[in-house]
Amino acid sequence: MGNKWLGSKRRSFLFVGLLAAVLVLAVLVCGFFGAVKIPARDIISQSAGRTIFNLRLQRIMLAALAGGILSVAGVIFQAVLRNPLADPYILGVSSGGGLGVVTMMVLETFFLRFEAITLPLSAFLGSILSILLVHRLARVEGRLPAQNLLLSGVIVGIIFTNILVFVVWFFEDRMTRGVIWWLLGNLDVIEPRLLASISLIGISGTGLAFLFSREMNIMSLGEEEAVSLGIEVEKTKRLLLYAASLITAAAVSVCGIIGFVGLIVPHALRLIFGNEHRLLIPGSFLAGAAFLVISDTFARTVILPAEIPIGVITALIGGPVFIFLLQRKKKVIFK
Amino acid sequence: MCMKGLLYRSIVFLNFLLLTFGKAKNLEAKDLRIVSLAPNTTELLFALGLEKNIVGVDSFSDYPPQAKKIEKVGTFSRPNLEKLIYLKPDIVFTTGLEQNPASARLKRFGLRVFIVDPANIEELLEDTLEVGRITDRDREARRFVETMKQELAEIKEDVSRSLSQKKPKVFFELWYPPLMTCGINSYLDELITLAGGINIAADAPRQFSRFSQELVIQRSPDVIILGSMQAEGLAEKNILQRYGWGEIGAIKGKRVYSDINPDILLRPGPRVVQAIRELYKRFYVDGK
Repeated sequence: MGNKWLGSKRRSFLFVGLLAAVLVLAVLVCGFFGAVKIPARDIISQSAGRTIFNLRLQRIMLAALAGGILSVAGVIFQAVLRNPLADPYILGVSSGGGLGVVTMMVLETFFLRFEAITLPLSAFLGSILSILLVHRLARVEGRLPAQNLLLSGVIVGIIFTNILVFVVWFFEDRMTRGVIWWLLGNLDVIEPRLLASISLIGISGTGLAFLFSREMNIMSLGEEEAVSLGIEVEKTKRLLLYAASLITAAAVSVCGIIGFVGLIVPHALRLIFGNEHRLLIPGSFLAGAAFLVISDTFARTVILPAEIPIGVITALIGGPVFIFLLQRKKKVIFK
Repeated sequence: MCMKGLLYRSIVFLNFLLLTFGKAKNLEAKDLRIVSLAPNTTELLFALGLEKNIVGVDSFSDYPPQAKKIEKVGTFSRPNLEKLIYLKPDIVFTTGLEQNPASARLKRFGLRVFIVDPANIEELLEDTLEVGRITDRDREARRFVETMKQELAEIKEDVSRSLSQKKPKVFFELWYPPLMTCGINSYLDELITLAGGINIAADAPRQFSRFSQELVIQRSPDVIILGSMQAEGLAEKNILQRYGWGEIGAIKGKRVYSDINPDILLRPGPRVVQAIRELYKRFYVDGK
């Protein structure tokens, strides 16, 4: 696969290593920025300082995970659907998640009990529902044509979003309005256990995608080429799409919708690595993680003591960086 | 030039006519028809004894209970203009922000629209007098404002008497997740202050603001008030599960309250005194 810019393979692998170093550095540095200044000795001693530091670390970890997951999902969707505009939410996962949350809230006001875990769980279920629906609608004679997937994804997304709008309108009160706040994206760790489950889902999904890097390399050239090279295209496609949707659902259920990461990180790395998915997948995970950790640090600290919705920062930082890259390379991203 | 001047003068004159005519109509009219598009205004109209004159309300207006029986003219943020015009109101009370477009459109239909959107208690008192003037309930409004002022003074006295105790640090949670609270210059901030509390988020730059969890833990409020309506009692349990919140004074001292009806706290209306009383009770009486 062509990556003339970096020349040899070794240099590409070095670059992945560099991204890993950037992530570690970002985590270390961002740990020292926050609403509360914590002196180093307070972190070691058992005190409120230590608790706050742990809380911050949890949030940084969630940001890293979410950034990594969304970027990998973006890489997969772009490769499998062969569409440069594909982002993790393109198949309607986020609207399913939003609808799940809203439905649960309405049910709760009547008879259910509110637990910390209810909100993310209902988002996850809603996302899964939309994934299944989209795949079902797109299937033609056992195949999943990319155009069908995109169309049914967009349609299911629109329908779910508008059901959400209707529910929010119909039960207009503070509860349902809070959904809007939730949808704007949020990286507070609601539950440490959630952090564990999202890392489990996210890392196994990313690992699985990595195992199919070669297939993705070929599939992004075109499905016919892939078939002629002996790849079971439909099976691989289905597997990868479910994996990408599942990890996106995990991210949405904990963080709401964080735009831009899953779109521009894969593109930025494609400018560097070309279409070599063995590098793109780990590279995107690391770069997306570092990007969201840094963005969230801005979101946490720019307007103290308030916090800014994370999506605003990802768009404001990511947009210009991406434009700069694009201008410099003047390269066709998708051939 | 001359024509313009004439035109201008005739407009002024017409306005003058309209105003005097309007006023004269008000003074006689026992059958004044009012539509209220905000729950706090509806409460205020009831408090001024105008319940028989309200012909339409928004879907949020549910207090006093009789308000529920009044014809609904759509939701708070999207009033149904057709229905509203059909009711032939003499006066429509709207509120700011979301209803500004609706207010502008209603005015274009020639309706008398008044925006009642008090941001603090002073404005609430002013608006009460204003509503009284518009609806020919001047005397009632003045009496009502006097009573409110008196009651506010009483609370102030109670608070200053309680100051032998330390002023409690208070965190008001509007929503989670994300963590939302009331910041600077907000109505809630004023209520907390008048009830003798210190709002730990008073430096947040917006009325409703996302707030840093780290700061809540560091500033360790003595009292947490939950205004999110997330099924009472369970919301308290919810807070206990959050990482690091066990360090907070309010949680150690079991002073997390979700038992105040959020409507009383969030609507700048005639129940303001009750709202401050409720808060005061949580800050000083229950804490002992």
